[in-house]
Amino acid sequence: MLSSLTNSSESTWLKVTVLTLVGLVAFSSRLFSVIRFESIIHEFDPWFNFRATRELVDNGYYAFINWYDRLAWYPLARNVGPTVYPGLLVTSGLFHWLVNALHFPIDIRDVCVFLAPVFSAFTATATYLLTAELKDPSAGLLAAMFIGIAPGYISRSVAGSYDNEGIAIFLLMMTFFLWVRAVKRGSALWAAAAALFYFWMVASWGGYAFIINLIPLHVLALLLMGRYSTRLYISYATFYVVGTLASMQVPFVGTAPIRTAEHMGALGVFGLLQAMAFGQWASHVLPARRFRQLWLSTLAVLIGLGFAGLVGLTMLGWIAPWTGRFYSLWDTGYAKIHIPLIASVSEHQPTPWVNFFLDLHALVALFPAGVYFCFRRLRDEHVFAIMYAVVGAYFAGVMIRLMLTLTPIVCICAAIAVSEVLDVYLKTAPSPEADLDADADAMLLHTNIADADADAEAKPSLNANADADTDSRTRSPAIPWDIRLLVVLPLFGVLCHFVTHCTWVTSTSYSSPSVVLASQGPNGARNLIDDFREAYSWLRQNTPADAKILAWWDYGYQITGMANRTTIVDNNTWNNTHIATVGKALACTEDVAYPVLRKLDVDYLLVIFGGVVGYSGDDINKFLWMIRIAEGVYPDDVSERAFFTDRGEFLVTDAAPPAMRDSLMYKMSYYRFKDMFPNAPPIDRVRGVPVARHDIQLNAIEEAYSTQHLIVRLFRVKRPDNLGRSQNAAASFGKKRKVRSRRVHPKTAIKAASAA
Amino acid sequence: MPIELDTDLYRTITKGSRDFSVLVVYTALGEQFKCAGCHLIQEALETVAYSLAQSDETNLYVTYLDFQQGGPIFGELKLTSVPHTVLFKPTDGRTHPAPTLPFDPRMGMDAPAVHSFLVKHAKASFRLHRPTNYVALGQTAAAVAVGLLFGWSARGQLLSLAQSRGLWLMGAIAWTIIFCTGSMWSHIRQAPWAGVENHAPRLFAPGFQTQYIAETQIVGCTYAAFALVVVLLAVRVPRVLDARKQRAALYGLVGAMVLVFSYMLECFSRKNGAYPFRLL
Repeated sequence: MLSSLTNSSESTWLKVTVLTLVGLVAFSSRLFSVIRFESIIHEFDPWFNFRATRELVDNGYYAFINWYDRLAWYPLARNVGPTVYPGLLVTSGLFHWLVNALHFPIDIRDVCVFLAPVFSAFTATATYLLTAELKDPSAGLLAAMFIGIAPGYISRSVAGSYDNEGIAIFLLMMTFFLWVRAVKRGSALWAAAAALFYFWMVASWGGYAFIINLIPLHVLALLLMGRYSTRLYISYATFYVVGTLASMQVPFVGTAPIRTAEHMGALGVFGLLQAMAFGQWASHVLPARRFRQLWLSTLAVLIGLGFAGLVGLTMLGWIAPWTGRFYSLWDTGYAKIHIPLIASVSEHQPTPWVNFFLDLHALVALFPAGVYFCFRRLRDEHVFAIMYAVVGAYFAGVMIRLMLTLTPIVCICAAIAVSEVLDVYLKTAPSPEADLDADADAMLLHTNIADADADAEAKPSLNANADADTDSRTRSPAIPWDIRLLVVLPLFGVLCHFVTHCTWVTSTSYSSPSVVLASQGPNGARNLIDDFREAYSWLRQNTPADAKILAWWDYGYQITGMANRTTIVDNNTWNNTHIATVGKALACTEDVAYPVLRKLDVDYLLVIFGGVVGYSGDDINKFLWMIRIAEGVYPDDVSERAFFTDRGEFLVTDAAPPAMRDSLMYKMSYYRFKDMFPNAPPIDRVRGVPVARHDIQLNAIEEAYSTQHLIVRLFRVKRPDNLGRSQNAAASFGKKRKVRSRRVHPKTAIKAASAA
Repeated sequence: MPIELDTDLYRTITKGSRDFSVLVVYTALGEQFKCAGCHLIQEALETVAYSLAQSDETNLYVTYLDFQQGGPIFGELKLTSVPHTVLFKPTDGRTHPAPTLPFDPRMGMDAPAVHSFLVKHAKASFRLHRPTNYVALGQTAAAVAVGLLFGWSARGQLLSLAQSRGLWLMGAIAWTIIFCTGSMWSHIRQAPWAGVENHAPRLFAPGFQTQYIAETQIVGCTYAAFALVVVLLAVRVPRVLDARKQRAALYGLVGAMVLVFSYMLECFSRKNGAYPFRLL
């Protein structure tokens, strides 16, 4: 393996070449969606990031920081500058500026689309560096390959998925690499570099809390293991001070690093480290017994004081306790009861085992082996890898979204495990640099095997025979070449299967822009369902520029981004009450909803309905969450149990309870749906059931536009009645008379009946 | 304690005019009925009644009507399932009969659910207290004391245990395997250990987004086996001095690796019907 090629220029060139190729693979395997669809921004949050980036590029940084977004959260609007992590936007803004300064006229949209794939190539390099610190460059190259194509990371970084995570994993790996190197060398320079990358991370992603808790945890573990050292002191003190000061420069973070419980662990460890440094000094000055007494009592007093101070300051309100978002990671039932808004997001659900296998394939089985090898060496940096593995595994199990933070360490551990095996069965002699560890059992005799079978990733060593006989203690009989082949080939097969699996998963599961849907007809032809953009472009072209659109919050960013119209709520779910108001309007009857719509100045309503083409992410399937969130704020108007039948079913059929059938959401979704089935019962293809066949009357609103497959349905809110009646009363005014007149003339009634 | 009703008392309370709310649980507490829900809600009812007695609230009573005491009532109401819980609101002279409101057991049958139902619908204001269970408190205190005593007397051994690398190693590996096989999902969603299909146990839940505990354990074992094979290949096999034994061990291990890996794929494709890859 490469590790046996010391620092010769050949090995350097080989590493550079392999890393470049890995970067290319990482980049190109993320382009499925661009090739199949087009260069388009995906999903929901990326649309806001894209819009904000355009704002930043057009008007400059200071205008952006003061940007007050009037298109969102009508009538509250949103103060974007201090409520957004600007790292991603600034990164792509700088990138855009750079390429344009070099006279490559690239549009900001293309920068945004391709930013995540480019950064995934960087991530591969950062992972290489970190793994090389843990084991050796050959393991590093394997880890780079793994992270380059692991679906767990691709899921968040395909082209067009312009989100914070796209650059955050690179920053995470880079911070960890620099931290590990700083601890290894006791260098303030590397620690300061780690702090700077940490600052970039803080500016980019809320997940920075992972770093600022994991690194102190590492330090704490080392202290408990009795591994205090000046190296540790220098690195952590530098990292903590510089990192905290830098992170407070981000407007969205502000004083949080000194005032919230999430950051208190880091501060506590910082204090503990000072005490340890003092103890170290005192132990040189005082006699041993005196020192022991003094030391124990000082430590107890300090820890007690620190704890009391923390509790006291929390009680006084100086330090905010753990926020619900973080707290729900520990108490997993918490969010469902207390913050339904967070529990309703599908990526906040726990992870079933299939997702681990889907995202990591064989790596998840190699992961424990890698942890084992970390334990065998157990230098300071291995303690870090183990802490990361343990913490990351827990979080990934609790929340499907956090698979992302687990993926790098799984890749690293798996690479270490694979590389350990390859070391034994491919190496012809121990390399001088890899055997720092005490029990280098990978000592093998040099056998002059024909290395032609070794594949490209396992380049045979050239200066192998140099010091093969140095250690005869663990000498074992030479392993014959056929047996080496027997081990290496199946392992190689597993890795090849991993590549196939990754390609398949990326291609089938993670490459849909979700703005455009694709389906396959019975004859194999591919149909594109472009209803979303159809609706948004209709809105853009047919409504007044100041029209307000009410939709469930999922579609807020897309409406502002693509239709350029004002929304009531959007994916930045900062105001629960406002969202609950929207939920109330959708879950109540027209009579109740109309005043709400009027108060919010709503001009159009937008619902997503998948019943025609079987698009399962539609509003009826999300309806229960709307009801729950609305009930949390308006318990008198909305009650969840009214939407269930007596037998506890949530139905849209004839048996649906009245609350369901009268709700605005139901009416809008199924309005004139039955007209599509003139001679048959109307079948909802998402729920797979026939829906109620009665006529749906809409009085307060009217249908404005429905897209080709009825996925997006737009309704216009009627002006208030000029006599001050309710819309229902106004609408039924004429009709009631008609009915009455029929009663007066029974003959016409009979005629009408027979005609019908 | 909740008030136990009989037929007469029940009629007196529900028929006449009243200026208080009554929560009535129609229940069957007898052993022969095997009604688990009844006992569950009875427990909640006792907690709520205790809290009521502690508070100043005087316009609310919590009661229950056992089937053995008030059988005729059950017949009149055509009740087919117990426990059934109804809140009788006060008569205010205008509405006749006074409005009643059934309690929805799907919102939970524990004391907080009943309490929030009462606070919301009976306009009652009282806080939920649980009676102090002195026995349990004493037991906990004794257990803690014994534990501390034991810990102190065995501190040497415990310290060496805490410093044992093997123990931490096993712990960390078990931890990663447990959490990487979706055990938190099973815990949060309260997955059953296994399902039943055609009167036979079913170990793998159908569908991609559900799972049984049994299958996570199976998958965890395959991960552990795969990792073990890799570790043995890298660590143990090179140390075998006898060439023939080494060869035999390698054949065995590589065979196990291939088998375990193909079983992993088999498990996964069982969950994901569209998965195109198999090995053996």
